Amino acid sequence: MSKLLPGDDFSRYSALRDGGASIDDVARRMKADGLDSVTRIRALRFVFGVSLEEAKGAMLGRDAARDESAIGDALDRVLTPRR
Amino acid sequence: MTSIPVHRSNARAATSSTSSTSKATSTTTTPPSGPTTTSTPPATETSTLLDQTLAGASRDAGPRLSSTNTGRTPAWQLVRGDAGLTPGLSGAARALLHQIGVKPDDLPRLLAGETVLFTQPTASGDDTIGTVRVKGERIDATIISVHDVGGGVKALLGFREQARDLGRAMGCRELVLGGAAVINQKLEEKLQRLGFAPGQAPVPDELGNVDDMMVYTRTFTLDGGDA
Repeated sequence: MSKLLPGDDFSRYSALRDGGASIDDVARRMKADGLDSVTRIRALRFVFGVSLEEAKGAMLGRDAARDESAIGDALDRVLTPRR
Repeated sequence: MTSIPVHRSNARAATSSTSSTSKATSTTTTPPSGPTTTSTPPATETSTLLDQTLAGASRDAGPRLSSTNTGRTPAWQLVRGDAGLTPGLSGAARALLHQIGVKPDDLPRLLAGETVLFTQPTASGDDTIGTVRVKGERIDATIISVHDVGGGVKALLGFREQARDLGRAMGCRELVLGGAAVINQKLEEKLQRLGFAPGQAPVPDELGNVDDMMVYTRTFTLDGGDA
């Protein structure tokens, strides 16, 4: 469960869920519908009752873990003292 | 009755659509009337201060810049957003907050020491999302989501520079850099190896709140040059 903000109406996505759509399917539909990233995360959490991490993973799709790996490598380069 | 698919381990169907948010109401203030009593240093001093602030060369340049009146700008540094006028913010800090992606409406909350959300657009269509808080001499800057194919690293490092510059512009001495809601286990391990300590922080209202998120943070000093 997650909180909603005034004006939120995610009933169409709840209907998709009820029709058997997966969280990944619904995440793609939300993006196609033009929802911004913040709203998509809030909506996915509300409709599917998932954690922030799970909603973020569904929103970003398969690239998410790969992106974070690249970020880790970059941080390593920047923050590890060179000899 | 239609069955509800459970996609993730803790997925559950939502049944309620009511909630309240804890977001503070923005306050509206008006500039002082009548002649100002603030001393007016020459314009060149403000220019030097701004340069020092942006370069991080003067620890107190930010606060001094905030209270400087050049005659070209009001004694109060004002930010005009939908919520009204917000005193107490220098032009340099305002510009950096705009760059970072903090909404003008959230500036009063930021100045009150609250955590505010920011977003930065990316080519992927998935905004970079994070939070920023300035309290006393410390700035907390946390990335929650970065997804920019081929540009995520650049976005992250750019954010680090923006947070450092904002901290200096607001007179902070410490930058607490954070990464939240990490979904890659290798990144979690790497962050800990690099000295980022795990902790918890409330999920911002805009992202659904109701629970905490895992945040890895590391503190850098802004006057020592290690940020």
